[in-house]
Amino acid sequence: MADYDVVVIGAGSTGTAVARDCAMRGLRTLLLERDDIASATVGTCAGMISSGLKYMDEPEIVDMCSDEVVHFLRIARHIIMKNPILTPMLEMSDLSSGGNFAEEYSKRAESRDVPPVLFLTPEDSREIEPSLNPEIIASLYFEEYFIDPFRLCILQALDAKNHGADVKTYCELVDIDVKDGKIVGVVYFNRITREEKRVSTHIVINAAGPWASKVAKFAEAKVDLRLNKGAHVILDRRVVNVGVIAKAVDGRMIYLFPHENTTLLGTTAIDTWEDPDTLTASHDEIEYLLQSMEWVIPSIRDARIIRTMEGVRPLVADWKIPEGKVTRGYEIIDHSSQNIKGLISFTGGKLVMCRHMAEAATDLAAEMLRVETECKTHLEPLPGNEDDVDVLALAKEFDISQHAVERLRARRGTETRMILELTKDHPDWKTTICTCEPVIEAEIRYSIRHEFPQTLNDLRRRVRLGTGPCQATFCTYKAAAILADERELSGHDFQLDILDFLSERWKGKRPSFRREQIIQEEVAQGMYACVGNLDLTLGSVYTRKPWEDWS
Amino acid sequence: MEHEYDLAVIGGGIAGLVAGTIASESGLKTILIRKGRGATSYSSGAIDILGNLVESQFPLSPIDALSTTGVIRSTHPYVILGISENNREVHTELIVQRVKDSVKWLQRNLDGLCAEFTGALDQAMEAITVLGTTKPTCFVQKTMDMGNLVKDHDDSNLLFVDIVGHPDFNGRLAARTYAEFQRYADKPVKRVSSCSITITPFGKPYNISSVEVARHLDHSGLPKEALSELRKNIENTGATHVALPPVMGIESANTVLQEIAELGVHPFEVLSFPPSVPGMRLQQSLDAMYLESGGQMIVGHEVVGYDSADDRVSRIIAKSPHRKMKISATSTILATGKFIGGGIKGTESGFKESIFNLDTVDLNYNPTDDLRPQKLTDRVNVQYEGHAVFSVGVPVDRYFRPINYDSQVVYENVFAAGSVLAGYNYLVEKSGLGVGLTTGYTTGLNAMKYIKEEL
Ligand SMILES: Cc1cc2nc3c(=O)[nH]c(=O)nc-3n(C[C@H](O)[C@H](O)[C@H](O)COP(=O)(O)OP(=O)(O)OC[C@H]3O[C@@H](n4cnc5c(N)ncnc54)[C@H](O)[C@@H]3O)c2cc1C
Ligand SMILES: Cc1cc2nc3c(=O)[nH]c(=O)nc-3n(C[C@H](O)[C@H](O)[C@H](O)COP(=O)(O)OP(=O)(O)OC[C@H]3O[C@@H](n4cnc5c(N)ncnc54)[C@H](O)[C@@H]3O)c2cc1C
Repeated sequence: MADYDVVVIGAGSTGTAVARDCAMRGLRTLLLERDDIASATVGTCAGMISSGLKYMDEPEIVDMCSDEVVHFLRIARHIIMKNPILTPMLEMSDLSSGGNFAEEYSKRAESRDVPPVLFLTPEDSREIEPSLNPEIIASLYFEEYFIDPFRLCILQALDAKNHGADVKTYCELVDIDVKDGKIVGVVYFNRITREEKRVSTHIVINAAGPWASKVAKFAEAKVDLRLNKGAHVILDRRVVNVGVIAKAVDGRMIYLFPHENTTLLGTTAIDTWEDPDTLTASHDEIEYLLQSMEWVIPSIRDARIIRTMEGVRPLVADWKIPEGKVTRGYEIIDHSSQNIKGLISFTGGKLVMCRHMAEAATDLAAEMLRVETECKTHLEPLPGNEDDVDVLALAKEFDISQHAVERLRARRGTETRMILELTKDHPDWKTTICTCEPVIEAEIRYSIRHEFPQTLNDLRRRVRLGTGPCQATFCTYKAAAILADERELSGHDFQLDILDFLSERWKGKRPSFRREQIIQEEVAQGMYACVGNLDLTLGSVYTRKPWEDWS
Repeated sequence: MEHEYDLAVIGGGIAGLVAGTIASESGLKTILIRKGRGATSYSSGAIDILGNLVESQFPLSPIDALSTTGVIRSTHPYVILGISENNREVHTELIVQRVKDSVKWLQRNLDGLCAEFTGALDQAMEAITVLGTTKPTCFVQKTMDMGNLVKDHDDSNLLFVDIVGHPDFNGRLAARTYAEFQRYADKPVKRVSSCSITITPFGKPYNISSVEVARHLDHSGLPKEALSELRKNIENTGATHVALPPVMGIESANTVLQEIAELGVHPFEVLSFPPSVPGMRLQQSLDAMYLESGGQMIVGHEVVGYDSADDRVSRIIAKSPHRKMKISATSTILATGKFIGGGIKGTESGFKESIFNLDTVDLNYNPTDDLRPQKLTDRVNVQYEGHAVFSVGVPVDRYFRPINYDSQVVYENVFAAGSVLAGYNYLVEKSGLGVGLTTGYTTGLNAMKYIKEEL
């Protein structure tokens, strides 16, 4: 008997959804991720689920997304927020395309529990969003849901684990064993223990996003992708009351979304052939976004940029058409057609479709394994969504600010109480470690114990450590001490963890380095270089990250 | 309202306060205007002179480092100090002499104040930080004096102490880090351990801030329970030295430490991150020093404009939310700091000095007026050479008067001091307060000469 029925490669939104589905259906499942959960594309996306403005020409996809939103609201309501959105129009021609969208959106509104599209006068629009350009002629009002992409992936992975799957982060697939045209096993390299391991499996599901072609190559199979990069600029607070969608300099649609305590401005779309690991946002992308949004929000440049992020969309390989015309749907490749049995790959897709993609791939896997199964991923709640949470009562009971408890709830749902319970034995764990978010020590300890983070950056994905205006300047060393304490790390590793996180934050800060960001960085360098002396003590042992290398 | 002075100092960090004190103690009518807090109040409690000459492959004492800079850097503020009146050449002895003079002067002036400091120019000091790392510096506040921890002691046994619920210092990790460094030391500290004590300014053992603890200790002294916790741990570990979080009081840290010393150990505070109690002590002491000298100080006012005539600045205009002031002065010292202080601004289109719109340059005096800030950064966040952006500032002549890209003095009566200057990167060099002190001291003297028409 093989070690596993299914080995899933990649723990982004797609891979974690697949692992959860396979495990829930009783398949013996291994999820391999070379880095951390949600460390790649999915972590750079806006987290918007549904919409349709962008793919109105594909009604079957709009239908699918609409259904998926309903499912998400059932299984993961605690990590979902609803945002009102305005689409201001500056010209008559904008109005006609708006009408089309309004009709398609409104058809599916009821099932998603949102009102139909409204047309608003300039006065009404500006009442809702005073920073809109007074010259707009009308706007569309509608509502969209946003999910925390990091928590979604982590919860899917944890749920897969709860259903018996093995989840291995920092384990990179380095080979696929094929015998007589059939998958028989995989080899992975554990980047922490530096050991290679071979396991046998019947099926490999390749959910490696933009790396899917590379992964397929290990089995001498082929996956065609159209890689397309996109940048976001992140502003320091909620600079708008509602989301704003507008036409960019080249006629594409871009958006400004309030997101947690920040605002996301995105996105660009540029075909790319670069190694996704080395990409950072460019000056051109930042200016493209700012200039485009300036037409409808004239004060946008007064906002403080705290960082940028760049991701690569693994699109279906439709060539010779603009990126916007490429299908937003996904394809599942059964490599039997290339004479390799047991290998399944994805191309295309979106975050909002991840559960649907997983269901389709798991159906195919079950069929290959000749087992009868039933998909339940749209019915059963993800961890934390079992019940309502009374934030006010908890804040009172544990003497913690309401705001901190509400932020905790938005990540944790019913786990909130469990985390707060820890402070009964350790009252000092009520201490706020990251004040921007805020995050208390108890949540960090809980996450370290139960959610297998290896680095501070992994902790960021789990608890939003260091994502606010100070971009981890003040919390890095405090959180590093807690991580080192829990893991019994050496002083050397404690310092390396600090450098590692600073370096990861710098990746996003550097492209938009200007104005207040320079002040913030002088403080950070004052702490970690001038006082902490890490520039002198660790410079020589630090290994450069892919995006820090010149080669 | 119109006010008339001999000297107007813009900026109240170390550079401005030192310059202002020098002028006012020798009888000039001096006014200092500052809008808020700058980098000085963020500093760690150490006064760096030149901890690490980036070009040098091995550690040097501050004096040797100073002597070496003259040879390899022509635009460093320290090197400008060394330009001789007579032949306009750089003399390293002159650099060292000027630094010595200003250090001695400051030491005298801070004597008895809470930021009183100790150290020596011919000895590099490796001070322990909140991370448990050590940093090359020259002087530290008296409460941070490590005593004979590493020198003249065969059996040092160091106990790191932290406060429960105070996240700014984790004694256990600091101890672990410091202990590992001891492996490479010539004369290692024999034993390193850690413990926690309880100090709860508001009765709750969480979210305890450094400033709250310091104020609490100023007010009510070290709580008995904390002292007995300390005693127990000192007995258990046999500690000879105790490393404390840098929060032992703003005014009364010396008293608190004395109380701990009576337990038979040598206590000292580690270097602080911001928010920094030692930084507050320094700021407060410098303020007191300046006011003592008879200078006038206007806080909460930002200099927003100026009038000029005949290559001289005749008036500066300061504004608060409530009023506007016009100040005429014979000479003006610009000590507005770098980015934190607000002296230099960097936008998408380049860098500029924020009040007089002066030209800005980098480490080697290359123009930076139309350079996008990102271009002066490295891909790696924390590394040996640092980021060039932090050496951007105003270029000056040998009297520290800002010059333009054609090397012409911009205003004959304006001098610049402290981190608003270009030509050095204090973050990696470890030279911040040292440059602030010595250039403040020197520009104070230069402005005086100018006012007496002796320049
Ligand atoms: C800028 C931008 C904005 C977007 N906004 C939205 C949005 O608002 N809504 C929406 O629905 N979608 C959005 N998307 C699309 C969405 O983010 C992606 O389609 C989706 O998240 C891709 O997830 P994934 O799991 O397939 O890929 P990834 O997240 O890239 O995951 C693949 C994983 O595979 C791992 N891997 C690669 N090679 C190996 C190996 N050899 N061994 C082990 N592991 C390996 C990688 O480390 C990675 O973690 C956006 C995309 C971008 C770029
Ligand atoms: C986190 C950190 C730790 C540090 N630790 C150390 C250390 O341990 N040892 C060391 O030697 N150095 C240290 N430094 C460096 C040192 O603090 C600075 O180099 C030094 O304080 C600079 O002094 P300054 O007087 O030039 O500027 P600042 O202290 O920044 O003062 C500038 C002043 O100008 C005022 N100002 C600016 N613009 C205007 C205006 N338009 N109108 C009115 N007022 C204005 C500001 O409000 C402020 O009062 C550290 C720096 C940081 C950031």
